[in-house]
Amino acid sequence: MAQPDTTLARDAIGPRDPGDIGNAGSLARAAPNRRFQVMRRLAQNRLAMVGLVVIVLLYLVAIFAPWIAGSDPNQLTPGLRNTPPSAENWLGTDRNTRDLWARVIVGTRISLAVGLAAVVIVMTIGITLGALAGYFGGIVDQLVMRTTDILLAVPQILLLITAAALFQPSLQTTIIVIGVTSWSGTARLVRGQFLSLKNQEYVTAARSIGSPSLRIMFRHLFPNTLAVIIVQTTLWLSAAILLEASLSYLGLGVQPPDPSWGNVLQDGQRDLISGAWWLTLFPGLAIFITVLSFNLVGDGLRDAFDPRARKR
Amino acid sequence: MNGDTGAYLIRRVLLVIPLLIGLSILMFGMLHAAPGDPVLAMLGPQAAARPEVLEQARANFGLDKPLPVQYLNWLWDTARGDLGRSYSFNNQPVLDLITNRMWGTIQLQGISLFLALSLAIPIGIFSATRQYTLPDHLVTVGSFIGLALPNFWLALLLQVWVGVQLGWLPVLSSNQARAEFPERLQYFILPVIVLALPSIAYFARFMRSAMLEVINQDYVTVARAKGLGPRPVLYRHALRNALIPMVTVIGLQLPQILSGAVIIEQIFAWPGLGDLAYQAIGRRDYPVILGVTLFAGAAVMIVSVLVDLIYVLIDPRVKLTGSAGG
Repeated sequence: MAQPDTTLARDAIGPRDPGDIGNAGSLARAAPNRRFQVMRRLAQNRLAMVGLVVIVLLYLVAIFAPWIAGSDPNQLTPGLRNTPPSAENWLGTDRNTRDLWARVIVGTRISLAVGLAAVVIVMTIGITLGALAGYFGGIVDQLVMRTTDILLAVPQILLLITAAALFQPSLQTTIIVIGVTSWSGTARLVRGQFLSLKNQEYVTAARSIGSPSLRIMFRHLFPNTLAVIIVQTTLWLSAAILLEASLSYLGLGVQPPDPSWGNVLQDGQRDLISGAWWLTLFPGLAIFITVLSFNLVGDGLRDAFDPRARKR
Repeated sequence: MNGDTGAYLIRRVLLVIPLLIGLSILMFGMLHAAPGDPVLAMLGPQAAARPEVLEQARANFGLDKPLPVQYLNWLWDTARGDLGRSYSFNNQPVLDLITNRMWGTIQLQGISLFLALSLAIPIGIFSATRQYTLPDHLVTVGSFIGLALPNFWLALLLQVWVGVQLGWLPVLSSNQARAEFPERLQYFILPVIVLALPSIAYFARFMRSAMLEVINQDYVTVARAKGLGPRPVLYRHALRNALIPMVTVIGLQLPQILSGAVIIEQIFAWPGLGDLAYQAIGRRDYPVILGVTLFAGAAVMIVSVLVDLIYVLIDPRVKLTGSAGG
């Protein structure tokens, strides 16, 4: 269930109030008021605020991971094989006598970084292709849309494990394969926005005074798709982290000894049957909390951008 | 159904074939662009010392020909219903492998989907009719939790807790084919729970918002104003219309559901298509990977056309026009 629910995301891009578009209400420039309102509405959403606080904490952990971890995640301590959580090893140790706390904390850095890098690729491809398809239409649109049709028809995990297995699994491969297989939904949403905006009067006006296409796309159309893009980015951060964890769990993602939550879990689950529950429980919990927080914020943002959907 | 809609649906059906060809080109390109040699994977590292054996094997599988020729050969065979033979899996025909494994996946996913919908729809209605009360908030929080649980993690924890510690249910499903009907059901319980949980969360949330939207419509207010009791209003007017968008969502979830199958079948050793695909990828069994991917893609595309068709049939307001799939 890695794919963010773009069906619900469509709520956020329904046609806005005519007045909104009429005054070229670009989120970035013309409407500091509106930006403030969005933030205020988000602040009123308790679940989203909890999610936001957790996300900030997670990124702080990722940044200061080496200090918080307290020790090297690959350091071996003879005699401490599969010991349960204790005062010295807060989350216990694994079969190789490594400290699980250090591995999960450094894993936070790796998992969040992979998620972020993958989402940068997803958004770059998705926004560019969506914008081109929506603005130019015709053959460009057909090509982009048919490619999304193909990508959306195949179970993503199948594409991911095929690509990862064939091109040597590694941290870089993981980022790239998640990035290039995940952009379809975003491209479609951005295309839809561009399509509905490009015939608005203010765009026609810009065109009539001779503004070049690129300028129209960047200055007039792109700012109006920001709401969609922000929501998509948040939801895909959660999805990419979950995909990375799934791939690493299957042994086709980030490779040991580098710890990522998925491969720590994969490594630990072998000892689950002999009673070392902490090795499975804690990395999974980290994935769960992270994905949950991003989803809460993404959902809150969607409601904040489109208060009419909120009352439903 | 008017003429436009009919033409649209026909275009959608005709589009499936070029899309499947596109998908096969994508997969074919990816498989052959990747480093690594399927023949070597097949024969084992000791064969590397004997190039003539490798050459022979390559010629047998047509892997010595130029890539476009290989592709066209494959396409020609596929068009006639022959997906080739597996490199591993005893060189069985790919189509046989798929049809043998297909039922495992269809049974497992069918039961999970049925369970998910039969729980999610009542939960969604319950939640929508009590908007912003404590039970409604609990459903919302619960669905967020259900959607964020990594399915492999849940599967592992349930295996150890219910399967090993409590000893109530079998951990792996490899023996299920030999079991008889009532006993066989116990193999389904854990994988079905794991697969249904995120679907319940997703569908319940969607059902809730679909229901809330309908409840606020004028015709529901009218029904209420003319003195119809709350139950008839809910079931005769609101529910029917709220179920319409659910059809689309169920169709859209199919790729997600199949994605779940790959990992969950793997964990429970479930004899299905997901497990077949995972093993084929490990063995670089190109014909099987291609076959399963194409099969899954075709299933998703056909379901999405069917969803459109059902949509037109159940909702007289809908007219489908415009470019197909766009």
